[in-house]
Amino acid sequence: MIAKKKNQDDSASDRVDSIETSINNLEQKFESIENGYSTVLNVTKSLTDKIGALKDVLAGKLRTEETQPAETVLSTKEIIREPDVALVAKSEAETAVTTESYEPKIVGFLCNWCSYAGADKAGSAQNPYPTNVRIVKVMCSGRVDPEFILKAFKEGADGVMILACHPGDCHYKEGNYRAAQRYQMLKKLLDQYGIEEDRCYFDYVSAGEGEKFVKVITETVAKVKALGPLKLLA
Amino acid sequence: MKIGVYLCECGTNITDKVDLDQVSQSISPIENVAYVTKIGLMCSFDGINSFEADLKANKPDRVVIAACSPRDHEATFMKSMNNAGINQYLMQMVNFREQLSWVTEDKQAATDKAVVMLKGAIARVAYQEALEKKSISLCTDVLIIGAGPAGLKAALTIAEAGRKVTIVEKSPMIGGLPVRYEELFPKMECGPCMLEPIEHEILHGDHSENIEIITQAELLGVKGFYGNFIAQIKKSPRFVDVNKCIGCAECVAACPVSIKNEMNSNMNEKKAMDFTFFGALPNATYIDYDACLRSKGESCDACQKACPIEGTVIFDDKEEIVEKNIGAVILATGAQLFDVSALPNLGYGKLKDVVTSYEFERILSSGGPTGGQLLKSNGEAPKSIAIIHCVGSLDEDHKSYCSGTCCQTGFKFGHELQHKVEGASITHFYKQFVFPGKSDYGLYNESKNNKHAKFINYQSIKDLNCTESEDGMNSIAYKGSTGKTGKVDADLIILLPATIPGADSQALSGILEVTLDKEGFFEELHGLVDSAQSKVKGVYIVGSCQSPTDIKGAVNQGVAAAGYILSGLVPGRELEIDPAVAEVIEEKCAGCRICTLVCPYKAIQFDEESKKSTINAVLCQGCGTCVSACPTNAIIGHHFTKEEVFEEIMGVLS
Repeated sequence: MIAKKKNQDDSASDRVDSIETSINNLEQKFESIENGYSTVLNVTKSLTDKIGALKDVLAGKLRTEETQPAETVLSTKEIIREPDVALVAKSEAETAVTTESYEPKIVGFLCNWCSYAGADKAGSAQNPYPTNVRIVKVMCSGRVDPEFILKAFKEGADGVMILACHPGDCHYKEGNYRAAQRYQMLKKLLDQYGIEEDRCYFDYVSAGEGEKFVKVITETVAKVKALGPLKLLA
Repeated sequence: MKIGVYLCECGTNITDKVDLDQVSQSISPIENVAYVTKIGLMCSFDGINSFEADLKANKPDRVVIAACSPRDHEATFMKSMNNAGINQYLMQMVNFREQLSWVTEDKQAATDKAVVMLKGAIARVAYQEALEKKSISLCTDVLIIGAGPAGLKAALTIAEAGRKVTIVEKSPMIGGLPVRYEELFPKMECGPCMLEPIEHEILHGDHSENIEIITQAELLGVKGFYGNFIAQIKKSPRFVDVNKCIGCAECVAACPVSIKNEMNSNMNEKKAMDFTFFGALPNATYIDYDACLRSKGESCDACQKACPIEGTVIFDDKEEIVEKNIGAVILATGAQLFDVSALPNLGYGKLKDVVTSYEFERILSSGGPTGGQLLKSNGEAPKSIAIIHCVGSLDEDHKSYCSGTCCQTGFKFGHELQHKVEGASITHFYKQFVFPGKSDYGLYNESKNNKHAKFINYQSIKDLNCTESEDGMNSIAYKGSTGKTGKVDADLIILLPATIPGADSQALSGILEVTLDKEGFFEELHGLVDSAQSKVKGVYIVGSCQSPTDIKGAVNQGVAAAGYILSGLVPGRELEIDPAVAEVIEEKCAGCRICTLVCPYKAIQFDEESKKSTINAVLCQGCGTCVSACPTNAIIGHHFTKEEVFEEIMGVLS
């Protein structure tokens, strides 16, 4: 009986030993897996760094291209001139001032034939809208020089609107297409200055669209209000 | 500088929402503001008088008017400026009514905005320049390309007003297509009977001395602009003196060479020396030189010998280049038919007795290949006829538009068939019918009441298949729009092809810089209110070269173009040039030519010698697109200069 018990004990102790050995083995394996894992992690990290570096290089390259208007001229037969003022936006934290009393100043460039007439239509319908937008009339949206927009921001505008005839409706056949092309490039330029996209709004308003005029004015005023005043470093 | 500011109360329309006294106080201290005057209702008779009297008394250097929209009364107040002896461009309007008092609820907010708006105008007006209207002499003669109904009626209208007209026609005859049609819809009027009096009026009428016709001619080039074009015209030799020829046809009988008659779609033959067709005007023969034996080096002079009038046949007639100074051009070059061989399932060119509408017009014509008898190619009268409408029209694979005139043509044919072949069965295959207007449904009604006529609506031209049966008859297997299939025998199949732009449209578009629309027709300035004007000033587009149209539409456009010309180009009057246009400052121009690419009016020329751009003030419409595009600020957009706009921007933001 005792012998049997001893045998049992021996066998139990053997089993404990074997379990211990197994644990040791497992621990070793785990360690090696861990080592392997950290190696993988290191490799991954180095790869991520490389990708990041590549991205930076690429982004840098893109940026260089964007800041060379001469190249744009070649491809689109259009041009955005270097502005005669240097504009740099302050950090978002500094500009994010939103108070209830804040009334943004917005300059609206309207073409004589469609959008200015659309604004008049809103007037005839006595359809009220905020007073923040100061309208500057041009004969055609094609006359809206990107310099006008930069000038407006420099002189204290918090937002700018360019309203043109609908595609196909331009009184001068295609001035609105030029305006639309220039706006696309202007957006990139403003982005480089840190001026938010919502501060420069482009749309088509016809002579009959008094209600649309009121809608885009109201919405733009609200968006620019939410962004707060534009502060520029000279 | 003395700036006078006028504030209109507009009854109470402005004063209800804007405190003009407060506005006046706010702007009076601004530099250069000499005085601020309120006027009750400025556009009224009294208002204008008091404004003009005030201008004369105060003699301001610049004027700012805050009133209604400049779209309402800018022109009124510009006249007052002129009346007071002040240049009209030294005034700026501020829109206090439509864009302020009518759209602002809070009076203080409106008053504050009013001040800001005025500041912009006051800042801007100081920089405005006195612009003088210029004028240049102009030529009132007119060039018309194409001698169809539209071109001829335009020519007559202009000639009757005592103006000189030159008509350039590429064929040897005038009258266009309809003069070749025996009868015309909607009232089955005889084509030649309707057009010949007009042609005679052109050739021998009271005002024919004002009209020069150059046949077998084409436009080679055009230089210049509205009021001052120079056109180069190439005139091919006719070899017959039109003024001497009496149209006796002796030369035709004598000519030994027979050729395919293109006028009759090669369905019969003509002579190398022949008329276009008997009755064609001018009533003179011509030599098809490529067919003439003389062009092959032979010394045939049969026609010259046969001619009873010496000097009429001129073998050494030469190609000529004619130059004309003209003020305006009318394009009346017409259209052509869609090439039905693009639809092989219709069997055109493969099956006999499948003809186009033009070919069938010639078969019906007394001057046609059958002498006006309705006969098939085997010389028998057809018993069952199919008329396929909308061939190539209303078809996304071919011409998506409706050609507009083929329905009427189809029912005109129905009418002719019904009367010429008693009891003939007529099947109309169609996609859509259109007969707008007060008289255009008549022929359709007649077909509808013909018990031998039937109508099958189809969806796609692919659902029709024309084949020749064993008995030699043609038949059409079809799937109707309801999905029902069937077969119709037809020993004559008439196709009504889409109307497409004329073959010369592309070349003329290049010469005159007139744009084409996506279908290839000349593009109108405005589809509803200016459809007879192209986008190039002084170039008018009339008839089916602008859009598929019937004779009525074409003639109306021709006369409309004549109206534009008679009112725009008046003898003794000079062409007034708007000074609010763009101008190149030569010394700043770098010669990059970006401006020439963006100008929608081709108003900018590049001088290859000086390497500078110049803007033609007559063609410039003052949009300012080139001004914004110029990378060296070398273009001034008068009345919207960079300085003026910058000042306004600074003003409204101050």
